[in-house]
Amino acid sequence: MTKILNPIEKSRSQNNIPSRHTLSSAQKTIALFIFFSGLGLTMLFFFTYSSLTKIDSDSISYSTLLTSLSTGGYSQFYSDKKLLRSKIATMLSSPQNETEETYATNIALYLFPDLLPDSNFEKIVAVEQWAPLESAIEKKPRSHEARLLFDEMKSNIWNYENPKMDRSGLSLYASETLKIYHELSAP
Amino acid sequence: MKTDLKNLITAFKERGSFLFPSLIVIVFSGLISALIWLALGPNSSPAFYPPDKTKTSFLYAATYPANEKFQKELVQLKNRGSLSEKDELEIQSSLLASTDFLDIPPALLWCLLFQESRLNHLEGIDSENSALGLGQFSQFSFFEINHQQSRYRPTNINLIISMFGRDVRPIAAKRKDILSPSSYYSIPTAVVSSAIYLNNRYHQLTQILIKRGIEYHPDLLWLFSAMAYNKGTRSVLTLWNNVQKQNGSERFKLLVNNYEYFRKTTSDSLLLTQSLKRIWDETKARSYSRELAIHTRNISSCALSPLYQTTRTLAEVAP
Repeated sequence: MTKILNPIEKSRSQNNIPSRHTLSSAQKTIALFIFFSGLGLTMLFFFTYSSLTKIDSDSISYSTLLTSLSTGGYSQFYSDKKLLRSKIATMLSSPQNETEETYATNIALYLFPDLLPDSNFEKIVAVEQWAPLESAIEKKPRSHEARLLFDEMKSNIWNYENPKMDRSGLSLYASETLKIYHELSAP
Repeated sequence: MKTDLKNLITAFKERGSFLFPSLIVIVFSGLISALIWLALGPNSSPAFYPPDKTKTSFLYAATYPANEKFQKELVQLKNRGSLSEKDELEIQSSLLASTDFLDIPPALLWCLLFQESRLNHLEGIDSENSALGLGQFSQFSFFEINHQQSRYRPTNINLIISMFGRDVRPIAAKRKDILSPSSYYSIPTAVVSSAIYLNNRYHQLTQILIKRGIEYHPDLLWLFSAMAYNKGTRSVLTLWNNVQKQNGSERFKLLVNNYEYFRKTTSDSLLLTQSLKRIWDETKARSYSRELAIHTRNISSCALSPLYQTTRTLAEVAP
């Protein structure tokens, strides 16, 4: 039975060019190799990128806020704080795990206490003892009045977490919050 | 009706020698069983909901320290000369005046000061420690007393004026003028300031419960206030959050109303560590939970009436 070739195949056959069917097995191997390597690299990039994004997004919480305050000024600080607020609100509404919940709760306690659920006993203290002081400092930053408010806020937080000022110091979240408002209230 | 009664009496008369004594035996045995059940039953633990919540001496000992070990230690302190009779009397008179004014259980304040400094009003005077004097005050405790009293009860300022005849604030740890009424090294000043600071912790905790509409027993809230005095209100509230989350609202209500449940909860090192891990890293949380449990046990065994102290609790307590 004579094999019917299409004009291209016929031309290949006449010019002793290897048939496309002969090449395809080698090409397939190479293609598969490229495909899986590409897939592997894509996955590697994706996971690396997402973890980097996560670290970056976590660090926005405090260090970025502090950096944005010293480099980008108030507008950058308020914009980053707003971003952080929406991120914490999402985390609190559907935490992925207990670590994330603890993280979000701690940041909310010191920066966005209104986001905490009413069932949280700490909410009342935060809403009364430092949230109004933070708002007042943000309204009149870098003033003598802001520094007086900061001193009151600092006292409230130390008395709340570690009244004896012992070796444990403050929690990471409390001390980072104080760093931010210390910077913001510096006359 | 009368006929029925007559018939019954007749029946008693006929079979009286057997039926009547039998009934008496049944009724009495029932009563005795009920009494034994009440005395030894599972609810014999000191769970209490006294109707009069203004009485704060329900749980606390009239004489203190209530624990024999602390009594011995107090005698040793006096024998060694670490606590003079004059200082002890001055502490006691200032303490009674302050606790009466602020409605604090005297045993609790005495035991708290004993726990903090072994009643040494000059504790830390030659050191660079952050916590000083009788009630181990830090710069932020002073700040609260000197600048933030408007947030708390007006009785605090009235106490200062009543004790010293004027407002002696600002109070500070004045090393060079220890007898000044503004110095925390002066005994009446230290006792009054510590009582106010403790009262503020109580006010803070009770306000939270009142706002949430949760009933509590004042005696237990004073114990929580002593915990907050030593380790901060946050440690107490984190524990409350954890108990409520894990065990539900009913169990939480039990925690602020039932001494036995309070004792079990505050001696559960796993629960305490788990709660404090929400604030600090694991190492700090473990160390803090151990300190908090020991502090609470010591305060309880020193201040509570022996009626509420089991032999086991006493044996566990090491001053």
